[in-house]
Amino acid sequence: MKDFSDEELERYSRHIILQDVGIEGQEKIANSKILVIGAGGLGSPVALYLAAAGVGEIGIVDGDVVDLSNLQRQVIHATADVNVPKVLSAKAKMEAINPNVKVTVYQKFLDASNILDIVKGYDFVIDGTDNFSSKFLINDACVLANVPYSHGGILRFGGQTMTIKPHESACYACVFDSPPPANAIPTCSSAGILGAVAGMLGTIQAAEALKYIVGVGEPLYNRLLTFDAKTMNFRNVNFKKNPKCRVCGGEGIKEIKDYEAVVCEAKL
Amino acid sequence: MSHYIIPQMVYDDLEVFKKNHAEFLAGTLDELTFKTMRVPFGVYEQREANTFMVRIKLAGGILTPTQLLSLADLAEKYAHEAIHITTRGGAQLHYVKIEDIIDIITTLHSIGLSGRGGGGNTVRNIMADPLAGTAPDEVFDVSPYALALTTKMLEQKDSFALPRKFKITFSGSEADRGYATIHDVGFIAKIENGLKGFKLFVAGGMGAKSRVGSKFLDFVPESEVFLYAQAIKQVFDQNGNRKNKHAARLRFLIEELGMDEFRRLVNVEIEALKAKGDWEMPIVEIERTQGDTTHEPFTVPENIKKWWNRYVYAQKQAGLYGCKVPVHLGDVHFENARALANALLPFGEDVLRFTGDQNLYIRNLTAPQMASLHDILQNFSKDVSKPTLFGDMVACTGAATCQLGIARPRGAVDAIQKRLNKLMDERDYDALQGFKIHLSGCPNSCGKHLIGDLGFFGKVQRNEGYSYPAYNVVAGSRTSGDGSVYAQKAGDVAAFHVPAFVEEVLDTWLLHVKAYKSFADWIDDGGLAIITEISKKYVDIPSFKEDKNPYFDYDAVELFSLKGRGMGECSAGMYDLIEADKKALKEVLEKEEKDYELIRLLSARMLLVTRGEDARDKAGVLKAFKTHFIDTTLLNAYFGTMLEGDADEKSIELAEEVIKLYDTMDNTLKFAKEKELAAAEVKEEKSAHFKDLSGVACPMNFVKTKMELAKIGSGEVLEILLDDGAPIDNVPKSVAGEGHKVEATTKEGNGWRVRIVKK
Repeated sequence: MKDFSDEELERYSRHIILQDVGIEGQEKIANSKILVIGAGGLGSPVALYLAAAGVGEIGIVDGDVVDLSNLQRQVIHATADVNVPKVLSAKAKMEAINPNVKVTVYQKFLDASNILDIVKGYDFVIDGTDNFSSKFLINDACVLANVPYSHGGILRFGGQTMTIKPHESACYACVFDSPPPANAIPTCSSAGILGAVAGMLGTIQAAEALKYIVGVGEPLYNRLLTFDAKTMNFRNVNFKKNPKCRVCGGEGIKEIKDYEAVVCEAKL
Repeated sequence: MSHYIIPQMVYDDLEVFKKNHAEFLAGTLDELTFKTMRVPFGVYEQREANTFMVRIKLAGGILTPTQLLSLADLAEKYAHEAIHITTRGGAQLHYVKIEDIIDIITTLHSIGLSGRGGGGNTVRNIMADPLAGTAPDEVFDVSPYALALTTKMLEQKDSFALPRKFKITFSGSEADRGYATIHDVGFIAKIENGLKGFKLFVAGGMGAKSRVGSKFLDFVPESEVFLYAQAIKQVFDQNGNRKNKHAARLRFLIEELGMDEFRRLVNVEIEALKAKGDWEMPIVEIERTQGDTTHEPFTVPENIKKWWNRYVYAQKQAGLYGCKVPVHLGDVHFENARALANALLPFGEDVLRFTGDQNLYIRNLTAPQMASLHDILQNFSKDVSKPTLFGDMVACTGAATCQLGIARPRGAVDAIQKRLNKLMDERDYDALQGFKIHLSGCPNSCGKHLIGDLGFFGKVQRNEGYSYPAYNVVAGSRTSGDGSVYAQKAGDVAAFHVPAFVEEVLDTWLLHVKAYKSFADWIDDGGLAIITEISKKYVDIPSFKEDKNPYFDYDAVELFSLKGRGMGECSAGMYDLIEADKKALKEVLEKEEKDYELIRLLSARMLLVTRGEDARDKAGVLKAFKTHFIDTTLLNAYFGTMLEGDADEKSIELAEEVIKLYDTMDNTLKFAKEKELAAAEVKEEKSAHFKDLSGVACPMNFVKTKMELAKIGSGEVLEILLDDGAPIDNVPKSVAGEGHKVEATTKEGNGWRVRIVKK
């Protein structure tokens, strides 16, 4: 077993005291590898909490640079970071919080050509992207590579998330099949987003990742958690795995294809 | 004359106690020795560490308004504002700080009250019929006998170092309201050939192995009350079982000896006492109140009629009235006590009694005087405006403060009352006048469950591995000078369901109450089976996952558990024995001419009681000493050589060594060397993993403990060292909370060694 240093024992003491985590759970966290796709509104809290929790290796993917309009919600970046690549800005903050964590950066956008190779090496993936084509792409890749992940989406005052264990629980395509037609759904640029909502949902995703790694509790399998921050009503919508799912059912998919890009013009 | 006389000896002892108290506060006297001093003064430690209670003797429950006023002052100043009426009709002050003990005892002495013999293995508060001196059915007033016998017993040195507690009471009539038939020694008033005297019962008791008393004599003349009580006490003192306190009360001795042998021994003592003299007991009648007893026609006002019918009774003296004041669980707030005392002051001295049902009785008032108290009494307790059922509930303090407690019956009483309160308007509870619900927190019968109509005593039940508080149910007791009968076992109920169960039992009894003379009659006529059937509905509780509430006792903030149950204070009697030998030993050591034989004997005997030995002759003592102290290597083999042949000057070394050894004894009767030996043995047996966590604060000490536990396999042992204070208070609990077994916690230096077996 891992011999935690006194510094680590103290840093993680509030985890270790938890009966359901303990030394054994903290050891699992330290030995885990988690990929965060998107260093934006969702990726910020996720990356911060995972680093703080002592996740052994964290990969972070984003091809963009920090924009002044990001700072209203993407709390991992600072004003001085404007125009710095998001992954580098994020890495610096994560290492500042916890030097014990190894951070790998992927300064690129994911597409059918590269996603599978990156996802394969991780124990768990966080979808922190802002567009449907990326979300479906991540779902396809995780199902193909058999890597569990957390789906997340936010708009205006609302958010939704579910956790997917490929071939065991319903996948994103079981629930939504395929991306909506372009412009059928308002994008962030036309609709806006309350900054704190990004923090709420991202934090839920981070908790789901840690629960999965430690093996405690009931992940959001087969249920979509939605909330409306205006009323602060939280709701679970139950789903079943679709045996005829285009992605994970019957034949399923065999290879990765890009979806038609409906990228949000405003940066989420 | 309305109180007992505190003998000079008690004042002398107080001076010694004062010195010990100061030494204890200064840290120069150890807790153990101090305990042997404080317990005989009626000062007990409560379950909460360093919190004490003072028990006060009130012979026959008698106290004057002036005394009540002083108790109210003490309660306000020192005791969380309450005077507690005990189940022996005495008084207790709770939550007292150790610093205040001397002030309290001194004040008590100044008003003629003493706590001497309140606790420990002593002659306990002598009781009397609560209606003594006023009851229409009584043969004569027994109160003066309770006072006079208390005075006599306080004068006897042997009253304070008995094998176990010794309880005496007086009843004025065959109705046995003083419970003579269930005491160690009980007197029931009787007149034979124009002479006052008593029927004498012995060896009754309600604790473990409860037993109804046996009739010892049909008539003891009044002049011989002390003679008999003292003779019985002496037989008990000389023959009682000091080895096992659980089988030590007089009833066990009589079972062992047989009644004939016991009688013979008592008669031997009586002859000896007569030869010695000073066995007469002067009786001073209690002066009747100066109150006006002229017959003015009095009509009870309509607005107080309900109360009058429930609680006021006409005394045997025409024109005088008595009244029962129900006191909720025996607790009297000082302001209420003060108001009542002030109101009673003009009416004379003999107007008040505390009683064993934890209530208060007022007496010797004219009807208008009594009526004038109505408003004060209404403020006094909320039970006053309710049917007698409410005020007649008795509960011991239970696990809330008692180290022996399992359940918390006082909380249960509150819950029952809350439930019955809601039903009061729909149910005719006045039809159940006199119905007694009694609860004890454990099988020891401090809540008198065995003499309730409906009784409960605490037990532990388990559901899917979780413990929960529950009660045994007993029902249908009878009390009478013709022979009493204890309540019989009727079933078990969860503590959580007690209120609902009581409601259903009462509802059922209300259907039958008109057809029977007493509840006990109904119980004997099929009622018991009905109650057993009802209880079956109330024993099971939901699983821990479904509902955690039934796993908490009433008024408890923590999940039910037996943690914190101690061995009780009664074992202090054993320390008295050791102290007696130690004192004697020191006296002979100081003498010019040394009696080596005696020194050797006392040295060898002093600590034998801690090993459960009570060898009486010299050879037996020396042999037992060798077995327990030399052969076990507690003392060097060198001292073994002194045990053979005639004793010589080396005995002095032996005495010094034994006294040194006693200094290292702890509360569990273990000597330091013994613990070292045991620890060494354990280490050899099973090499434990070890981590020194002294100096590591919370919660890091727990984190590191978990770290060490993670390294070892299931069933392996980890020993850790923890600091005193928060670490020892928290870490073992947390470790146990995770399912590991905390096997032992022992003091080591300034900290603690904790032994954990991994789950």
